[in-house]
Amino acid sequence: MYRNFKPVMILFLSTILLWSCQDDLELKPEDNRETSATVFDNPDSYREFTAKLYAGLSLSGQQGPSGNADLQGLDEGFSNYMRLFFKLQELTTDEAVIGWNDGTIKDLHSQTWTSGNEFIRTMYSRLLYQIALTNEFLRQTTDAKLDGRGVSGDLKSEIAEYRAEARFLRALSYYHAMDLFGNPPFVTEEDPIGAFLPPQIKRADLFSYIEGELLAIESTIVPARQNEYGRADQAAVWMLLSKLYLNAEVYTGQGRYTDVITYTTKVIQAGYSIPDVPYQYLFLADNDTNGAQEEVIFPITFDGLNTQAYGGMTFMIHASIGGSMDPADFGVSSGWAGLRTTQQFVDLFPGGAESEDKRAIFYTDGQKKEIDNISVFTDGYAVAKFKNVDINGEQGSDSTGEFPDTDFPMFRLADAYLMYAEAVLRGGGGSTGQAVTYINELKERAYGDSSGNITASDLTLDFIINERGRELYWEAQRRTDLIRFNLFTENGVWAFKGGVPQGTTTASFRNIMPIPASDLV
Amino acid sequence: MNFNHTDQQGVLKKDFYERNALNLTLTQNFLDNDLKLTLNSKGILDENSFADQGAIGAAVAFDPTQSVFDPTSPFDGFFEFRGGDTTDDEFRQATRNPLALLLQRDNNAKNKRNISNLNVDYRFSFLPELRFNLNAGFDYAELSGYETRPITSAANNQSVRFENFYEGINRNTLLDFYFNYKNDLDAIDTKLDLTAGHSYQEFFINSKSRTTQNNSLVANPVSINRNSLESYFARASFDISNRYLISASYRRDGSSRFSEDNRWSSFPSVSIGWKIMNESFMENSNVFSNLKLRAGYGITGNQEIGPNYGYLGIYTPSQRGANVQFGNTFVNTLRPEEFDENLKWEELKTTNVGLDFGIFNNRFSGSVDAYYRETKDLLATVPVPAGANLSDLLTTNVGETVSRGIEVGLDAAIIQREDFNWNVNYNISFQDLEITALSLGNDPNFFIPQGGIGGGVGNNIQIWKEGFDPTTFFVYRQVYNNEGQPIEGAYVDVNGDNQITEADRQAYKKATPDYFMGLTNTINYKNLDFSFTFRGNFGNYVYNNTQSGNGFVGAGTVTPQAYYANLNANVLESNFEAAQLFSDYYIRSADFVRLDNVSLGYLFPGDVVDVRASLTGTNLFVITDYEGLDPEIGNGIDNNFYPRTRNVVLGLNLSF
Repeated sequence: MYRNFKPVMILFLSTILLWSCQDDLELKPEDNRETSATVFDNPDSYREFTAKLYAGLSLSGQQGPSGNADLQGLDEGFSNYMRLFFKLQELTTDEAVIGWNDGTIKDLHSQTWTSGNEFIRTMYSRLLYQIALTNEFLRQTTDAKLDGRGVSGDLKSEIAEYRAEARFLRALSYYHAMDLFGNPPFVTEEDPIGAFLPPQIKRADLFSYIEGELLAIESTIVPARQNEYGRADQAAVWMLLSKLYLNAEVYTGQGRYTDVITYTTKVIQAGYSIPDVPYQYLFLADNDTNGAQEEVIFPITFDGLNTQAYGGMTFMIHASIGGSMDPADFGVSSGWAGLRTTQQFVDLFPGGAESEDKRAIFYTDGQKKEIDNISVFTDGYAVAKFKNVDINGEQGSDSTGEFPDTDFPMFRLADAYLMYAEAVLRGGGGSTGQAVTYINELKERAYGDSSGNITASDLTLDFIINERGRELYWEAQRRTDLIRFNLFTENGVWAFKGGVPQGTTTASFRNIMPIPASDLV
Repeated sequence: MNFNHTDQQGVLKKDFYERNALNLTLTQNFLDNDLKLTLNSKGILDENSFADQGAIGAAVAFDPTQSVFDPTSPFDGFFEFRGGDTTDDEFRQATRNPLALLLQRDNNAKNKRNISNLNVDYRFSFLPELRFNLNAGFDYAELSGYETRPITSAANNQSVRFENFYEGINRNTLLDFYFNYKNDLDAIDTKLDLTAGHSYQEFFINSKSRTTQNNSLVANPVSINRNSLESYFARASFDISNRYLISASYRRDGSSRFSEDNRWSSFPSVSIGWKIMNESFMENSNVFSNLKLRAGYGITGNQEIGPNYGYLGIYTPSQRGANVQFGNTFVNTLRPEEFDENLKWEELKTTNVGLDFGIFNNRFSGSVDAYYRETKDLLATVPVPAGANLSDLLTTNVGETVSRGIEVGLDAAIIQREDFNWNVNYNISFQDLEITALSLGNDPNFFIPQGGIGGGVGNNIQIWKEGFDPTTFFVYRQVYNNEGQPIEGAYVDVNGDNQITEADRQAYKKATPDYFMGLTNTINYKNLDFSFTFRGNFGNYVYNNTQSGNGFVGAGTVTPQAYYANLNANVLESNFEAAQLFSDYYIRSADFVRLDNVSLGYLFPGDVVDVRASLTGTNLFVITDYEGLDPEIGNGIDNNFYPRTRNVVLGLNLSF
């Protein structure tokens, strides 16, 4: 009996020895995830990490359209950067209303939000998340880290470009955070990753930081129009500087209009053009190839098969379709029946929806111009500006009609023209004649001829704010513009502003969005 | 050997569970019974059918005036809100038909599982007081399942049948051994018991799936998760003169979930006991039949957190559909995940004293226990301040809590006769739980939002704040008119700044009960046995999210497409037009008493076989003022709660 048992005993004892000798508590991921110590062994990682920084603007996670979210405490579709940025910049103004009943969404248009507003809170989370992502990229690509990994030559210079773009993207998000929240928390690559409460930064100090960052990368980022489509270049830096300076008075009390002239001029002379194609081409599925891209300085790219999200362009196109609109005309499978515009905005176009100005792309069939009830889709004209069809009316690449190919033009030449003209009027120097020429280039595209052209005497600040509305509506510019013209709160009235049908003014503290209470101590 | 078969139909249609289990035990003695080998192996085959639980929410919100069926519907004859006659014409925003959600979806899974354990127990022949014990165990499960929804389901937005094939492996392995030395040291009248050993455990999960996306079947990435635990432990117990008990233990635990610096932690404990009954001065007691005083202090560790690699910076590549255009190519993205490199063991320090007693020959007995427990470095997944980490939620050591309580248990043999017995057992526990520190912010006003609710996006109704129970609600104080009717949108301006802002939200009530109790009666009369148990919680509150989420006019009428949704009947009382999610109007007392269990049995004795027939009912009724489906909801948020079942079981037990 003992003889039989002996091998068993030996077997067990050796198993124990084997198991205890192993360092079994040092476990690393075994699936497609990698640790920071090994992930950069693959030189493509730098490019892929950079792609994630851009994806921060267009996507909501690592699986399209949803399923592996960046932010876990929120509904994934709602947490998309572009979707939230659009809502905060447009729904709060005369340009857009939404009929949905999601939580506090209607408080945005009525300007009655509190710091508990989930859309404001989520935008705040998303902005700081994007900043944290870029910080991590910069931490992982310092000279010391790269040297330690033996990175040199072409890869090292490629990474230098990525670093400049990461700093641009961080400056862009800090610009949005400064514009929306005033004094947001401030974290850079110098801070650790952990669980601490980052200190807030004063708006004017953040202004200087963003300016310093942009000036520092101006000469290291890829020259204007030399980078791959979808990636930021020097002109994007100049464009952001122009916007920063144009609104400097709001942020710091100090106008910087001469700098606006300087930097918009750099953009304008960089070789972009207002192409000889209809205005609508800028907002179609093939807007990266149909000619309109000649004007685009920095797009947020989407693709029906490769770049899918329930935010961004998917939201903007689906949500603007309802009533008698046929989704097929927009290259999508369904309407989400939410977004329309106010009667006041329609009236910015001479002749309203029937304007000679071709930029007035409204859907009016079955729609009532005046809004009596925000919740009813047919109250208020629908906006048919963004579509997922190409110039021939063909649907984009996603056969299910769910996810559009249409790219969002974040920065484009027309905006630089308008900023130049505004800076001239605000005493930044430059040339009035040149400004009028630029404006008329936009007018001629809008009217198809010179019938809408202006003269020097028409060029006033009132004209500029209205023209910015006509040219750039639904491009997430409006709130910032109205604040600069002091028309967002104490002045300026449109349907349901202040929560009343005819609209009323609101208190000026609403020029800044509240930071969530849980992040304020 | 033992065979077991169970099947159970769930509350929802298509929730079905069937289990076949075979249990095998082999014992073998060697070496004059000094060595004992025990093999225990259990094979289990589970077949599950899962219902779409979304049907609960849909049933709550679906327009009740619509019929379930519609012969003209393209959706297999189920009524759905739609704008046309094809399967693409459903209103995407509308509430889906709950019956269609259940019946049009199939989700079946098979789980094959084997749990085996080999135990070796060896008594050293040269030193019989010394024993060696070894356990090698493994628990292996293979899951595979298939979920599908046809094109004719309004919940399928694709133009092909939706399919999801999923499979996985779940494997736990365990190896532990210890030496045990037991001896009676008669010279000093002490019984000695010493144990020392080592244990290692590993948990492995591997899962993969293929899902229909954009009209084609796409393979999702394989997910593999592994974690392990290792311990060294020792314990010494002394029983001196059968009067004084002293025991001390020490363990050193290591977890793969923490970095090398924080991986190992030590957890000591001591306990003492005094059997007063055995003292000479108690010898002549006519009253007491048992009296024992106990006290202990110990530290234990917890590492049960979701993520396995939470201390490491991990990178996750993107999948199809989440790539970014650079020039003419679409680049995969690489995401750094949130992490806390300082993640460490949570420690629970417990001090307790207790008294056991029995009087009148133990006809009346009971125990009283008091405890004080400090939890240090509490592990939880919480919102992290924006910008500080690489997500909005982080698993980290968030702070400290203190809990105190008193537990009393009483047993009484009211009637003790040869063929008639009546026993009553009563227990009551008082508890108090409080957060004493939050490590994210030193400011006493700092709080962490908790307790996600339905309504809006990402909203929370509870807070974690120093000085409060972790299930404390965070709400506006509702203002009522003279008739006691809540005034919509009117809240108490707590800080007196003439406006209602987030600063007016207050900590108010909590979901944790102040005390809970149970009462069991067991009666035997000859071969008849009868027992029942009441159980109750007191001082606990529930946030009625089914009322707040649907109990306002807008919930039914303000819809983006041409449909109506159902309202919660509470709208007739509140008369709210719009959602008032954060009103304390929805914080309701949820005290309850439940008849948990009634059992009636009769034993038919036989020569060869004894037969016991029984009738058992569980969850028979609840006495409560709470208006929702069930007052007993763990986190205190009542939102599409899966209904607790009421079971009545008729049983036959044969003993050979």
